[in-house]
Amino acid sequence: MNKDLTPMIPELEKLLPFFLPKNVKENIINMVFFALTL
Amino acid sequence: MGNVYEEKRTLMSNAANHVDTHQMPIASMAQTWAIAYANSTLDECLTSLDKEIEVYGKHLLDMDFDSVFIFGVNRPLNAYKHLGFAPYFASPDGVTLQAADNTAILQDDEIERFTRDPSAFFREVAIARRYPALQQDSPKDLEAMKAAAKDLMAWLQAGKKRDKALKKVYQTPALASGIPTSPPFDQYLCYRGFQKAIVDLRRRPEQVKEACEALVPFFTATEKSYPDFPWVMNPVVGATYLNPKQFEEIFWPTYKKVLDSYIEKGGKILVALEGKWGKEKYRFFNDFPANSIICFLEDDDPFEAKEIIGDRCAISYPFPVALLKHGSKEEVIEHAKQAIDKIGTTGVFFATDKCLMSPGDVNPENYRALAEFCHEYHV
Repeated sequence: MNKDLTPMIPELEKLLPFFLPKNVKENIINMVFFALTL
Repeated sequence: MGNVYEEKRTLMSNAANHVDTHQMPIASMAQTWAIAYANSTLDECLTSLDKEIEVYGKHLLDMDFDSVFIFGVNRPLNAYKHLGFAPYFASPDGVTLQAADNTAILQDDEIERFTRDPSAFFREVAIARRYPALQQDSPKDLEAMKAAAKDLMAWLQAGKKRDKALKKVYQTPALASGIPTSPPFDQYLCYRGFQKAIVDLRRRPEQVKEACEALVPFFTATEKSYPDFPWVMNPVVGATYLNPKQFEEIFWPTYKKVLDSYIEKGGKILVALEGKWGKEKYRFFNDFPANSIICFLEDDDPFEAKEIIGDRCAISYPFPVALLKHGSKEEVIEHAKQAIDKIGTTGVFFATDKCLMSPGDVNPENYRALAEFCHEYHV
């Protein structure tokens, strides 16, 4: 089943320290997504 | 008495830099075998990072290696528990880590979309397809993803604590640190599945090249600079299955871009040449600056490799696991002595021809004796 996980990103970013810049948070979430494909 | 950890770091670094070490440095190739040696299980290792470190470190307290290839569980097994599918899992022996068969995520009619934007394809299609827990309705899908993400991030950050223990407790450096890199084609092979990827090489080589190109940014260097030691881990699975023409035209161009990105920033790459490559393929490593590539050999002839690439690349001598398992201590020492006398002690070190994954892969007494001999036999 295909399902777009993009709507989860704002919620996942809340797991990260609030002071991290937006682009750092995006990179970490991208890394998490990518790690799940390995 | 000097700092043992620093002495070992220097020894391995000298091997990579073609400085004569006058003895044969030796790397422990114990992966999950280390768990069996400590009478533990993968499940027990997953209970805490401290426990995992204690279990993997046991063999390093009993055997004197100059370095360790991999230290700790190298897949985020705890994260998979939340997702309903585990691409890697413990075998019934409780120790050996196995890869699942059905991990392909890229169908025939999706290659173009994947190539256009791999990240979007992962996020919008592939990840939920692979993990049933993410197919649930809200909020169960989000809760599963949050739990997995927490464990994944903990796993990504575990390296620092492992390195600290290796330095302070076990006085043995890890050969590589940080996030491993990969040839883009290896990842294509993983996403398509082995059978389909091999057929693609003949039926749609241009599409394979384009997909590999799209994957390059996922594997290029991310740090501003890299140290002389430890090295960047780079296992290579796919090359052994390609003929020299496929290797040169499809595999190599994007792989070289990945390796160049690290070397330009001072990095050295530990390339694990899985299987048998043949000189027609590994000779390509001569394209890189001297002392930037360290080749871990499996089934390739180390004496031939030394001749073809040994002036520019350090190589591991692939000590036969079968001899360490079935041979006598005397046979192990004799093999080691002959190997050292023939191949020398410049730009070379001992590893094994296979990683140690399962209980009984080697006789621990032989492994200990080999490490001891390496330190006693000076040339």
